[in-house]
Amino acid sequence: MRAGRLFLSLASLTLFCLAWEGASRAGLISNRLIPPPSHVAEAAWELAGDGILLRDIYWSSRRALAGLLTGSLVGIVVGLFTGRLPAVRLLLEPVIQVLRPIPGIAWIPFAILWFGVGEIPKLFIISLGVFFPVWLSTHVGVMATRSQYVEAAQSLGIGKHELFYRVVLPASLPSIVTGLRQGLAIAFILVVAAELTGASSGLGNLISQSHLTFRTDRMLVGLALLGVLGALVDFGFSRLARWLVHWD
Amino acid sequence: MGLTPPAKLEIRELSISFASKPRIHAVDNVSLAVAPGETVCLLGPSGCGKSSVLRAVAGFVRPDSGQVLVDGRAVSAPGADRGMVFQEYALFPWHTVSRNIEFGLRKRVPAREARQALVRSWIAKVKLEGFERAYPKQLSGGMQQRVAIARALAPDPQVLLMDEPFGALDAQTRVLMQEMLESLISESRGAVVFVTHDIDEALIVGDTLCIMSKRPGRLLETIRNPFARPRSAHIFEHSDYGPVKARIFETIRREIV
Repeated sequence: MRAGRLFLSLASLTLFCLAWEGASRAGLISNRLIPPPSHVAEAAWELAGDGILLRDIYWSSRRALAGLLTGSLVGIVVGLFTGRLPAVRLLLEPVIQVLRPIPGIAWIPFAILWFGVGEIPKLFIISLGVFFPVWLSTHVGVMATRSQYVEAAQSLGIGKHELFYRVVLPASLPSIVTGLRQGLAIAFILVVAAELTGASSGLGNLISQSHLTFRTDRMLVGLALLGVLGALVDFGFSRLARWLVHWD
Repeated sequence: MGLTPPAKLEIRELSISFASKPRIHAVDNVSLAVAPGETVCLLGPSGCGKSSVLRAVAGFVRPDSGQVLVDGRAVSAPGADRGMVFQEYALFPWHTVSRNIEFGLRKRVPAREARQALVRSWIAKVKLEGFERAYPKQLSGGMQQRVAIARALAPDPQVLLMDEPFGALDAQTRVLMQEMLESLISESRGAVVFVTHDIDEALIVGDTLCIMSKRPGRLLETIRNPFARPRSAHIFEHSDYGPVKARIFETIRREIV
């Protein structure tokens, strides 16, 4: 059953590439604007041989992961506090709600102004973008924690701090995981955006550099890798999520 | 109260209201005492404030006035000395049956081996062998409530509070649960307060039946259960059962609007 579905997926992708290759060779689409799969594969081989491909994947992944971890950690901690403590909620929630709708990309010029070039502005932008959905899902999950879980735990003699990580955190985990998945998608978008605007490595940089030299084949290598990488990461995350909330 | 043995749980002149609009006066000047090993049923129509009394004893709501004493000491915040069983079970869905029962034992029994032996003995007492590693949502309602009872009783609380614990179960399961509860608490020297609106249930479970009025809830009448322990569904076959139940129903009938 699983093998059958995998086979069908591969068949679908192969068919797509064959149709594209055929259309290119028949002169239906411009080889310069949309190079055929065979040219893209060639370019990928060449880039891989130079070690450029691996380096770019490494840097993009590293930046996305660093931003994801930082933004998620801050989002979960702040969400636990705003969800659980009315004073903190009153103080912080309006500010967060006003900042939350601002698209992450809009912060890029400011990030460069404040932190210059290098890794810090990228970490800032990605963390900020990840923070909002993770904060919101944590905040909502904590607020929606059934009061009976808390009461049952209190009647079993649990302490105030223990209550946080032994009851409130696991009770909100399904909601938090939903936010983390959104955060992951945002981290992916923002790492490319940040690399397109100013970087000397990463898949975004590969695309923008290849654009300057009109190497559309290399640009497509970058795009294809982003697609494959994104699908793999999302698959891995859904496995992780199922393990994290195995009871749900 | 001077001649009776010291109460395990004492409720003194408890009044509770809720800050809604209009203000709801839920409980009015309720006093009662529960002796060690005794089970008191709070019996009354829906919305009569019997759950509010229970929640005040548990420390979940702060009364307007009055006191709750456990072994003569006033209590206000929730604590492990008062175990609670909810109608909706309130098991932690992220923990297995074993881990749910173990939850309140960490401080009480620090040694892991001893703690797990205690958990196993409770799993046997509530007849859930083979389900140690199951998650709550894999269990039926009756099984979930048995886990909840074991979880509440395992830390050996001074007082066990039960808020219509079998209200969500089917009639047959309910009777079996009542009988199981009867045998579990007969081993304990704690006090039990059991809230129900079901007279049959109150007569199986309760040594003493406290009938409450409609809101604001007052104590109307306190009745010693004429049927002696151990009680089971067989009391229903007793020739006195009909008249006893009818008398209680007459008292409650006047309170149902």
